[in-house]
Amino acid sequence: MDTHGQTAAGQALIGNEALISRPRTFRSIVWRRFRRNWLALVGSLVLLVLVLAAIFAPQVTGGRDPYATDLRHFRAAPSAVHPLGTDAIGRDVFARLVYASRVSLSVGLVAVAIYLVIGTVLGVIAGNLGGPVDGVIMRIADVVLSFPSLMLIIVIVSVIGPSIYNVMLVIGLLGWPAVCRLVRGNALSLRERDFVTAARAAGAGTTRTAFRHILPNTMGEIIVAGTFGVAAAILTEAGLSFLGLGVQPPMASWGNMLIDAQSLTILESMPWLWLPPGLMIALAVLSINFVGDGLRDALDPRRLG
Amino acid sequence: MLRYIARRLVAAVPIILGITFFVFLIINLAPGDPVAMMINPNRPLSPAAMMARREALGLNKPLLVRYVLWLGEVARGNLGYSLVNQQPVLERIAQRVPPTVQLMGTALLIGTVVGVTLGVLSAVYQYSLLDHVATFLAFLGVSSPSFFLGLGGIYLLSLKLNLFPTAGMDTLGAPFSVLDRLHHLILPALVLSVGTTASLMRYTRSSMLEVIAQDYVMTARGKGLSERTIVIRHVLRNALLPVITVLGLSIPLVFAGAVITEQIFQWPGIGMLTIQAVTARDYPVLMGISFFTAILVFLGNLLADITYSFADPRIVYK
Repeated sequence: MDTHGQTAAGQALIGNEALISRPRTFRSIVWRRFRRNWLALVGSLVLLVLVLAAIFAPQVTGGRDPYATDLRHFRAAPSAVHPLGTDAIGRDVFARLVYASRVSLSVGLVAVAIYLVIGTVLGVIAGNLGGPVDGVIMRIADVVLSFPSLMLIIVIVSVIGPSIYNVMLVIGLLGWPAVCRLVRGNALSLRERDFVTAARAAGAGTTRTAFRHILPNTMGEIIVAGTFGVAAAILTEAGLSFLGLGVQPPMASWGNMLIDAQSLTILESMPWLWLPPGLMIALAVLSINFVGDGLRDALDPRRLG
Repeated sequence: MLRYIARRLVAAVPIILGITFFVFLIINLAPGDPVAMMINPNRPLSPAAMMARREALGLNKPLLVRYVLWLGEVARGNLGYSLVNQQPVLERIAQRVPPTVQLMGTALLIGTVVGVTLGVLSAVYQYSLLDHVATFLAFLGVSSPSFFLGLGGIYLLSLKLNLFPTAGMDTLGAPFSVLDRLHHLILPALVLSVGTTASLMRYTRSSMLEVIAQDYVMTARGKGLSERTIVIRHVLRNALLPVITVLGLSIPLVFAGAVITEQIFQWPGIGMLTIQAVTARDYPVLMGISFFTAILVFLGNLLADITYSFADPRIVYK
C-alpha cells in the first residue's frame, strides 16, 4: 500500500520540473494505466459530455425553457418543436432532461463532497488519536452502517421536508462512515510503516505525520471511494425524487421526471416521458462507475508497473 | 456456538439502541405531541389522567428520559399506536413482515443462484465473450435505478407481453393460491434481485480468480487432474466461502431496494408501509419500522456468520 516514493517523486516534479529527468512519475504511471482501460476512457468521455451539457444547458436546449408550458401540446409525442415530446402540463421533456442533469450531478457532487470531508476528518482523528475517541467514532459509524441508509434518509427527509438542499445534506451527513473506516484503517496500518517511523524520528509530531505522510497515501483510495460515491448518491437522489421525497417539482431531476410513469396509461402509451430520464440516470451512473473502476485499478499501488 | 450467538446478541443491543435513539431524536424534531403517540386512543384516559401522564412523561423532560420511557413500553411489547387508524404498531408491522420476507427471500435466492453461477463461469472462462458480457451486464445492473428497471419490466413483460400482473400480491377477489402468489412475485423479485445478482457476480468472479492463482491449484493441475475436477473440488468451495459474508452484508441494501420495489409493484410489505407512514407523518409506525429493520438486518448478518462457520471448518467461534 506504499505509494510514498511515487507521490514524493510526483511532488518533486511539480515543485521543480526542470531538475527531474525521471520519465516515470506517479502521475504518468497512473495516467498510463488508466488509459489502458477503454471502458474508463469511454466513461470519462460520456461524463465530460454530460457535464458540459449541464453547464451549457441554455445553449444545448436551444433556449427551450424547462418550466414554460406549451398550451397547445400536452403529453405530445416527440416532434421537431419538442424533440422528446412534452409532459402532462406541456413542458418540454428535452429541456427538462438537460436542466435536470444540473440538479442530479450537483446533488451527487455536493453530497459526496460533504461526506468525504466529514469521513476524512473523523477517520484521521480516530486513526491517529485512538483510545476512547476512536471507540466512540467507530461505534457511531457501526450504527449508521448497519442500517439501510435509504430508510434513515426517508425518515429524516420526511421530518425536515423534501428539497434539493435537504437531499444533499442528508446524503452528505449519512455517507461518512465508509470513508471514515477507510481512512482510519489506512492510518492504523500506515503508521507502522518505516517511512512514518522515519518521519517521526526526524521530529514530526502526530499532526504532521497524519497530514503530511499518512493522508497523502490514502488520497487514491479516498478519490476512488468518492467516485463510486457520486454514482451511488445520484441513484439515491433519483430514488428519493421518484418517491416524491427528493427534488420537488417544478424543479426537474431525473428521478422526479419518472413520477408520472407510475400511472400505467403513461407507462404504456407515452414512453418518451419516462424512458429518457431513466436512461440518463443509468448512463451517468454507469459512466461514473467505469471511471471509478479505472481509477481503482490505476491507483492500486500493488499493481504499479 | 451458543456462547458466540449470545455474545453477538449482546453486541447488537447498543447498535439497535443507537438506531432507535437516532430515529427518535429526528422524529422529536418534528412538531407534534409525543404523549398522544404513546396512549391507546381506544382506551382514552380522562383529562386528569392525561395531565398526570403528561406530567409523568414530562414534555419538558429531557429527550433521553422520553426515549427510555419508549424503550420501557417496547419491552412490554407495546410499540405504540398508529396515528392513522389507531391500530397497534406491532400489529400493523406484523402483517407487513411476511410479504417483505417473501419478496426479499426470493430476490436473494435469484440473486445468489444467478450471480454465483455467472461469477464462476466468468472466472473459469476469463476474458471470454461470456466473461465480458457478464461483467458489462453486472456494471449495468448496479448502475440502473431499481425503479427504472421496475417500470421497464412492467412495460415490457406485463403491458406488452402480458406475462405477469402489473401490481399487487394476489389476484383481487380470487381465493389464495400459491401459484397465483408466485405469478405476482416473480417480476418484483426479479427487479429487486438485479443489484444482488450484479454485486455477487463481480465478487464471485474476483474471489474465484484469487483462488485459481493459489499454489495448491497449481499442484492439482500438476497432478494431472482434469480442469473440471480442479474447479469443482478445489476452487469452488474455497472461493464461495466469502460470498456468504457478502450476501449477509447486502441485506440492508436489498431492504432499501424493497422500499422502492414494493412501491412500484404495490407489494404490501414493510417498504410500502414506510412510504405510507412517511406520507401520513405516522411517527409511531416509523419508529416501529426502524426498530424492526434494525433487528431484521442484525438477524440476517448473524445468520450469514453462523452459516459461514458451518461452511468453513477453519472458523471457530468462541
